Amino acid sequence: MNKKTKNIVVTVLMAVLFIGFFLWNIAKEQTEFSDSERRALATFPKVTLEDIVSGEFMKEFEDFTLDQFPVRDGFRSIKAFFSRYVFLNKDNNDVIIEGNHISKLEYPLKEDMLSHAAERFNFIYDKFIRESGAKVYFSVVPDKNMFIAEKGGYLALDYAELVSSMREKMGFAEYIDIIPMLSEEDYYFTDSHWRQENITDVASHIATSMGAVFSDEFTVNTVETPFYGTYYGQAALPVAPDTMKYLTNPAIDFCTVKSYETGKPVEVSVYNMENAKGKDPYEMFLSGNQALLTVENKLSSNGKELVIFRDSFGSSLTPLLIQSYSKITVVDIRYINSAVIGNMVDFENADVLFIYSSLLLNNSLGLK
Amino acid sequence: MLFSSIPFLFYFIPCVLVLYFISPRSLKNTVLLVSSLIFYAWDRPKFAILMISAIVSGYIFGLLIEKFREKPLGKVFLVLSVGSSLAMLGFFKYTDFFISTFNSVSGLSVPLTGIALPIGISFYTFQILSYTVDVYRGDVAAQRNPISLAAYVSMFPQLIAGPIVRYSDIEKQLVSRSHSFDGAAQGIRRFVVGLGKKILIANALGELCDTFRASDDKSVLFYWLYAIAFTLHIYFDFSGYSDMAIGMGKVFGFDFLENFDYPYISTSVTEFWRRWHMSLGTWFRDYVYIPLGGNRVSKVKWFRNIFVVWFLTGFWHGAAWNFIVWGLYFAVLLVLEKLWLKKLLDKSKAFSHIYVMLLVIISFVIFNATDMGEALRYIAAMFGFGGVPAYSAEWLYYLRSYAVVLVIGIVGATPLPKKIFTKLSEKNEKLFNVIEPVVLVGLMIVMTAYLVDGSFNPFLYFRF
Repeated sequence: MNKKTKNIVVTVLMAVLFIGFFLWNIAKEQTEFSDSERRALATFPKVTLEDIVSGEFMKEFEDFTLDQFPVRDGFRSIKAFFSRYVFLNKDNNDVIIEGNHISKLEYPLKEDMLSHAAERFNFIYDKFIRESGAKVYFSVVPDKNMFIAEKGGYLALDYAELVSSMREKMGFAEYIDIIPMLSEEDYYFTDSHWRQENITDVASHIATSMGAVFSDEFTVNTVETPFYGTYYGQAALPVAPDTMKYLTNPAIDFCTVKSYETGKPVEVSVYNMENAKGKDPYEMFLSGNQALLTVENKLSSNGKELVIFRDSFGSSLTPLLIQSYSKITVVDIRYINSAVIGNMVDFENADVLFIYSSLLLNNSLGLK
Repeated sequence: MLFSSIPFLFYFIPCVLVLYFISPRSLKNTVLLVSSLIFYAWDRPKFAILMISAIVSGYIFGLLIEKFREKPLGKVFLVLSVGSSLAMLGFFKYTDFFISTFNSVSGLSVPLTGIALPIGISFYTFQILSYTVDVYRGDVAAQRNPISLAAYVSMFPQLIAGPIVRYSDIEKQLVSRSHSFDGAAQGIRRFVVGLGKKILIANALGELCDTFRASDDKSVLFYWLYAIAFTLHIYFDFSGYSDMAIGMGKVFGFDFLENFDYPYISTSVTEFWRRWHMSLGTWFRDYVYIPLGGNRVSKVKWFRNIFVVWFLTGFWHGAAWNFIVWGLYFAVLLVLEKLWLKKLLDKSKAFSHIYVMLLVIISFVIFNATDMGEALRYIAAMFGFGGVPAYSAEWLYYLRSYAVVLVIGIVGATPLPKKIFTKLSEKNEKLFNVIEPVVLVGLMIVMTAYLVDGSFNPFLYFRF
């Protein structure tokens, strides 16, 4: 090819690229939701004179063009590839990949967030628990960066400082240390959560620390659908999916789970197999995020009750603990205001467990 | 609208190119004008009215100045033209600066106006100024076709970030210009390189600078990392934009002058300013420095001229004291070089490179500070004052994470890659003729991927 031909080829190729993508953009049907990012995508904005004059239309149009670009996920993968393998960036949009694990940078430790969480927990304790005679426990679930960050030289929280700070702020609760029982194998590769099949020792330690009896005899069941966790889509790189497993025993098989999402009790599943095939398969545990649930163990007559204040990590832990109690009440104060809990939960002589992940404690503004 | 955005690359440019090249020669300037107005009005439609009024005023004054050039009235029109242009620039860019300075000095609290800065006002005002002054000097004839003049002032490739194109440089091309595959391919190559500088290097380093600013884990070495990253960021950001402007100009048949010539290889500050933002430097030289007498006056007046030019250069960049200090900082260095330093610098190339880069890095810390207090704090911290630790976990992490971009930035700021490319392509011309189109398309796809993936894409020179 001579220089003249090259210049014609360059010009024609670029014209085809620009005009081709322009036409593709125009012709392409709008996508409303991104499965890989789990968010609604911007669609073509309404055209009003007011929005054009204020510049609002143009901003929304730019969002639309970014969100609706043809083969968007493919382009995101190209970017992720170049970021990781060409520019050798340690993270891409804060998403890190260490070994088989995908995770997200969580740094630095935000003392104000810990204070907010502790303030909410203290409020609940002072208002509803102090006079009830309940025994109160507290535990922190470290995110998986605790185990993978140092290996890859990533920034990570000072977990010792986090625990120490929370213990100091929650003097009313006895701390149950589960950190020594955990390692990177206990977490999904493509998701932030822990694997239920790997935390029976954690559940046992928590139960026995609260004076309950615990048996680690479970049947391991496997979900056939591959599990693409929340980090999978964010990483935008080809990574093998996880396999999701869940544990059963007679107490779990015969328990009744009721959700009070609408005020009236509605029976839901311990393991929701529809959710297991859905966009966020981890929501199979206790049917996903619910403000208030009760789990009743029909096989138990010990009369022991447990109230768990938790985030999503508690969803997979709770079924393991039901064997030790007659009833567990599960409260998620991200979805219910702390001030109204007293109307719905009886703390009289119950065990109370506050169990939260470091991810939530360090980003606790959602706690009501 | 940013060049490095999806709406520009995949909506605006395809439409403009098709319309431009299917239009007859007589309508090409009209297409350029209309598309430039849409481009400009995209972010703040109101400001387009301001630019149109500046163009109309420049057009009328140009004709009047030419008509009365030999008479005293010509000077009156020139003064009116320059005065009205500067008044507009002063009102929109500097009103709140003057009010806040007045408040600080007087202790009063006159409320600020909150006037938003119209994008590119400093660039197009200077272009109109140079046009009317050149007409007055008789260097160019007044443009009788309002569309041609409007197309020159508003031409979108150089409208918001320069280079400051002189009317005299493209006067003939406004009337008659040729279009060819060779020119288009050259322009495309330059545009893609500029876009790469902006998206792949400048934006990445901009992220690093933002991360530093938000960090609570600052250290001496992190301050240095920030200062070096910003120095590279501003070069790749601004020169990338200039490359894109020059490239697009070529596609449309215009030859804009170069704006950067590897400034970071300079061996003196004087040389640095011959290589950095050349269109601004030559503008101040031709319209301020030389009219004041340049260096053909007494030493005192010569240095006064330098200080005036550099005060204005700093003030042109932004309505804040740190920009003025930044400009005067260079004035002091230039004077020192003219008095003593130049002889010393000529003795050692290595020392002179270190000297220039150290002072330029510090200058950009002043430049990018929110105020002079922050600038001084940052500079003090870089030299270990202020009680910050020597290093921190974040410094190490971000150094590792951005090491490749930093190295590419440092090497890319020198002529080395261009030299290597030229040598290799001369030796393997046929192979390179095949590779080049593939690489250009590949680069465009990668850059599109970066744009699609992220919304981080601020452009620094907008505020000027």
